[in-house]
Amino acid sequence: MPAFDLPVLPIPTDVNGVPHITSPDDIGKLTVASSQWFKKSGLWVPVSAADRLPVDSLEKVIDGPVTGIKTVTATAAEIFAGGSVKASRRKLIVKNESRTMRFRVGKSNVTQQNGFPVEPGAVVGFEFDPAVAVPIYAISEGANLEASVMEI
Amino acid sequence: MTHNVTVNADGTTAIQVDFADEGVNLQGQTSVKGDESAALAYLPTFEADLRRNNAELFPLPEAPEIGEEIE
Repeated sequence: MPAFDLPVLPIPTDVNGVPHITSPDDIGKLTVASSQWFKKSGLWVPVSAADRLPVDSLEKVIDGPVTGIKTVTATAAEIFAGGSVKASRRKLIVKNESRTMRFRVGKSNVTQQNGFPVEPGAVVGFEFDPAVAVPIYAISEGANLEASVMEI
Repeated sequence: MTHNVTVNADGTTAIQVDFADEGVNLQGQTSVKGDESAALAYLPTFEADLRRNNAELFPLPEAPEIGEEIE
């Protein structure tokens, strides 16, 4: 089922005329042209400052993913794909690229003993409320290893 | 690259880096568990990852011209 059904109305476009929809803001809402309508509690209402377009599904990609390779060391460090945690992050997917060694993930107090283990070649994913920044830390169980990371 | 390290009250230390001094518009921010020494030990790894993941931003060194002596 779609997240919302819009009637045929002008869609916002960028300077090149390409339709787009904006990224969620810090409370997980979308601001679009005021000519848009959406279904709110079964009623069609125009988008306004009071009734902003809801983002009700983490399954929909609404922004370009950020990808990268991270070196996981024996020092617990935040894990993310780019230069810093993606703003309004909705998903974090991490693949252990080591063939032999595990790393562990958790919150900032993660250790080589108490973290959640990610086996060699395994993938672990997290879903987030875009309005709440939750850092995820990773620590190698031994030597440095590489992890492929994607944030959506 | 310039960096700044800030020790947080929760037992983590934040690292901020900026490559503007190299003419590259790239900033990074992360945090590690531990104190300033842990952050400084992790800094080269963080820097290397940023350079690798954003290699297109960093100009390649000019190759010496043919016939030019290599020092």
